[in-house]
Amino acid sequence: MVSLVFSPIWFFGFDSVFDFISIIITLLIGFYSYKIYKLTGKKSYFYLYIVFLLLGLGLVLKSFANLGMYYDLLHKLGVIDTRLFGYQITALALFTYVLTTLLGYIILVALTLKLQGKRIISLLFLLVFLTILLAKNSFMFFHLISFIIIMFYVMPYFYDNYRKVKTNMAFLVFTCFFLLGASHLLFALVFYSTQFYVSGVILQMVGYLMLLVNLILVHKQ
Amino acid sequence: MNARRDRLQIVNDILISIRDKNGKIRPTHLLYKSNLAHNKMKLYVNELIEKELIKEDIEDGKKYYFLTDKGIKFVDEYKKINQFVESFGL
Repeated sequence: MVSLVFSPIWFFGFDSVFDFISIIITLLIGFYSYKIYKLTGKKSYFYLYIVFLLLGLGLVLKSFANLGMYYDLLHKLGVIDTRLFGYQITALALFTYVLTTLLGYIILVALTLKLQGKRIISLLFLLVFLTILLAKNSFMFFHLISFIIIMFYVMPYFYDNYRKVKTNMAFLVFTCFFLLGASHLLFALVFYSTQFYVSGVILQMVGYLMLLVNLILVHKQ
Repeated sequence: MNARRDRLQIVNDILISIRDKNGKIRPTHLLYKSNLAHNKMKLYVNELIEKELIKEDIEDGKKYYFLTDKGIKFVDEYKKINQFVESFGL
């Protein structure tokens, strides 16, 4: 099911650093959402906590897979004697990355579209996941579907919210999801040029940085 | 004040009412400021005293509610949370 994505060799390691920054931010936002849930009892922030936890976990798994591919390449080049772990583990890590990220996005769609009912949400997840699973190029499909979910269902909600409240912080949230959506489009194009992967990773990190700035602004005021 | 306030908003409104009166307020003023029925306000006040967000004391022979340091911190934290919540709109 999984096609491995290769970043340019010169970018190996850098992508892990960028992903690590993104992971830290997703966890920070997730835990702050949980704090809000504990204090206010607003269930939507409990789900937002789950969303960011899943996205963070997805990125951890993606970094893990990248590490496997990096070592695999070094092994092929004869730089090191043994691989870090087998192809199956790398593929499993990528598969779980797709699974957790999609689940996070579907919960985000449910939150922004105010979808009620766990059965509808689970059906939506299953349909999307099975479509990706059965696709010829699963990885490209995953990124294309993620792009569609973010750009056409999640991002418009945050844009409307920005227009409603007109604050810099709401603008940062909207920009974050715009950049995240755009990064998925770039990841989908990675089979045409590895440069898209580089741009995608950077765009994704910049997107999450917007949320970090948001969190800093909230605590500065 | 908003007619459909949740519990936390009411708590915050009570604390802000005290803060805006230089950290101390008479029960009658609080009743007016909090826009609550007397029995409801009493319930909230008792809860806030229990949680040490406010304290009840006598000054010049009159009863006052005082905002504690913990209460000041709560108001600040609530403001931050509100801004974060507003930025996501969820």
